[in-house]
Amino acid sequence: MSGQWGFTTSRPTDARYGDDVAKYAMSHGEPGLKTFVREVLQNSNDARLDNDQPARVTFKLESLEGEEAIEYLRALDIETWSEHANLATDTESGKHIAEAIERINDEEKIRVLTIEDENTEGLLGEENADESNFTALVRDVLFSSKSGDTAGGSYGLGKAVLWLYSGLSLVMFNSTLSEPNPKDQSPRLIGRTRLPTHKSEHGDTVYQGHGWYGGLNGDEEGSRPESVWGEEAESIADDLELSRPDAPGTSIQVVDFRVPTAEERQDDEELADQITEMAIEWFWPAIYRGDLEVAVEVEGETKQASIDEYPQYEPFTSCLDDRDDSVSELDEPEDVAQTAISLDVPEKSDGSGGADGQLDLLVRRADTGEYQHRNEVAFVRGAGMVVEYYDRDRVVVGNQDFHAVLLGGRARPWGTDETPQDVDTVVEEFLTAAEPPQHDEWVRTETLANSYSRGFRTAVEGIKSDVTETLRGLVAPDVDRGTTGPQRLGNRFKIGNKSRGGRSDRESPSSQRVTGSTNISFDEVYTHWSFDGEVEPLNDGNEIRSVTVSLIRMAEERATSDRLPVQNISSDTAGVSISLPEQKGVQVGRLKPAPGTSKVSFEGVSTEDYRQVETRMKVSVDVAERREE
Amino acid sequence: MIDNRFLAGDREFTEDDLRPYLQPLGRSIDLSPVDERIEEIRAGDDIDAQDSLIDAELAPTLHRTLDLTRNEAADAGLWHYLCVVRFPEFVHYRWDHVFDPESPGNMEEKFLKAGTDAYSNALHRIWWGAELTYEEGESGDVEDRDYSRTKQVLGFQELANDILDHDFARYIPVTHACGDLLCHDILNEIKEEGTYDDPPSNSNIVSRTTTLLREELTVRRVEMMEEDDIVETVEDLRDDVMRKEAGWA
Repeated sequence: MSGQWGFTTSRPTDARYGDDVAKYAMSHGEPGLKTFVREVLQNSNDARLDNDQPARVTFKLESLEGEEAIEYLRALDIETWSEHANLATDTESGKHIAEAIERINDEEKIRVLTIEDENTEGLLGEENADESNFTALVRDVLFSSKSGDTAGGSYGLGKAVLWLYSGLSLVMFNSTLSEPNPKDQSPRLIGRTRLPTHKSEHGDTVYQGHGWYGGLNGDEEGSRPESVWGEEAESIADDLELSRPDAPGTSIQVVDFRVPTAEERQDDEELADQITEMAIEWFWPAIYRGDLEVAVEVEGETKQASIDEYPQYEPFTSCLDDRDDSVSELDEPEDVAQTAISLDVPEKSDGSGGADGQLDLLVRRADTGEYQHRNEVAFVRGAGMVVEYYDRDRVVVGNQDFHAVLLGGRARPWGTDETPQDVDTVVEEFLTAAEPPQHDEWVRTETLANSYSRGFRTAVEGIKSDVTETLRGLVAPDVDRGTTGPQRLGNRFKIGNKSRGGRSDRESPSSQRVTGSTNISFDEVYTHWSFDGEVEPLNDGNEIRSVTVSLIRMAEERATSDRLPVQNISSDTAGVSISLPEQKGVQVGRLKPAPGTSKVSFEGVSTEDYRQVETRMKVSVDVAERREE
Repeated sequence: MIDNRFLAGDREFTEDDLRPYLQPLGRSIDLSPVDERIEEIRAGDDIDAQDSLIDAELAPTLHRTLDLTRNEAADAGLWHYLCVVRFPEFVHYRWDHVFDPESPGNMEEKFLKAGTDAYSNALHRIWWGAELTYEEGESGDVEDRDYSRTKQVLGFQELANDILDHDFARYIPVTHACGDLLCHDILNEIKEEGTYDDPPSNSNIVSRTTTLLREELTVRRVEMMEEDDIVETVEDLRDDVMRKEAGWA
């Protein structure tokens, strides 16, 4: 017994798909292994059953060869599937799929990654339900059914990674449901492929591209295969190496697993190691809390992802461990201090919500030798995933090195005896809305703009600067900065640079009067440099009179006197006037803020740079005592 | 000890004065050929004091006489001794115009820099200028070395400075390419061909081309470039500069 493939037909006038849109949205930026591991674990973590047990996720990597591979592909009804895939070779993605088929045929070898989770909800829901785990994961594109305010995802985009990382764009599911289904017995098995739109051989039928593997059930013409259940599902799962333990959860099989951006196909061992480390890197909070367990199985050997094996994350877990014994000043290595950072969540557009919330920042003074992730702040909310490691290396020029954790939403009381308050839930919801599809930062998003009233922007954008300010108070030596030099004298200085591709963000130690950050990187598409930055005086009594940005050509050993013209500069700081004057014959960017402005942010681009040699930015800031207005 | 009085030439040191600070090199070198050559240069009518041609004229003799290994030549103390004790008159003769009692640093470095800085110390720069530009003769003998490129480079102060003051100078194929492609003879030849209307002055061409080269080397590793590639790169940059088409001039 095996299932079969069915493809949805469409009319010739319907929209055609060259590829899956969601795949592209997801692949934007960093489709390395990191995106995959983060998304997959987040999906399982979100679907965890509401009990004291952790969600258990096992990644199983297998390379099937020879007869074994042939048997497997037969069970997969690969013949029907290939016929369709081969009809789609006139598109880019169709071509790649055809190449993958050829490679598998030649090598008689196929790599399969199965992600098996336990103690999760499973693929609940009717075949045609409007909103269910099943429809969200298997059927819909860009729909999410996760409504819980602590859910990690909120776009329904994450699941697209499954197809993105399958060379054949083919994913199988086998699920044991956590709630009994009225009609059918678990497990539930179904497959899904996303091929480009293609025509039948004679051109008389157009297939939309979406295909399902299952049992053909309906009598209507063109109906799609539906899930296979119970014993039948178990037997197919056996042939597909997709059997699962009798515990609620879902096994997801990515057929012909590969990292889309990898330069070469890595071996299984190597991939397994990377998956384990990334699980710890991004999910140590959930693992530490006992909400999540991750294991990787390769060639029959299972290795548990354990924080103990990655001591570089222990400084972060120590922040939680030692929270109860926190100190007010970081005198000794390993001391932990904690500070509250306020977050004023505005009301929602419908008038609900809104609260004076709080995030807790735990800072631990680094010990010698703890150099990985040093001077980084791990941003965490209730989902237990590290949203971002915020690098504050330049805050500590001459100061104490540290590791820090920023706990928000339901994660705020972690490490104490408290439980989350209502206000923490409001914050959690707000932070969730502030995450872009990749869930890798807290920024202004469309979701925020659509669901919150005025003030959301200040709130979300203030988090990082508040963190920086608080850190400075904790790790900086206690000096009175206000007393350096005559205040009326404007002061010029340079602040740091980010060199191309590197992370050498640094601040000149002499920049006593101003702080800020700058960034410059080369844009391969438009062949120009794009830059941005933010500056503010260290002393509250000062204001910024002008900011001048020039782009300096670097040489082997030091800067040259060459400048690359600034093409364009803009600022979202209110009341800033912008000009592009020439300095020594080369156009620079100048911002003159309105009186009383302290913080100025800007972004811009250089003229086209066909030589593409190392270029840095120099930011000169005139600071003066705040004028009485 | 190296104070303004010394830098102005009002005070001298003898070997006895500096005895406590001196260390023997471990072998003796007869410096009389250098003395003689300096005499000749000073006696000649065609080269004035402070002219960079002095470097060009002294280089072959100095380099042949001081047949040092690079390791020995990297020892700053050797050059301090030679400039301060053995040849202070020569240093004054060549560099007095840079002495400014208000900011004595420029003169001071002519006596005291060296080591990794090939640009500053008066004799060190001549020796390295030769070391980086001469061609070994067929016999491999010291006498058989060809110093014509050395003379081209050291006789053109802008070129000598732009080569010796930068990291790329340490890589012989680049130094040779710059010496060959940017010397007066070649630049004048191109100008005479009239390919470019109104080209910049030779000094400007050299300074601009070497700047562009240094910028280029932020993204390319010179040791990984084939010699032909280096020559072509320098040539292209030079021609760009002569066309004034560098893009932002």
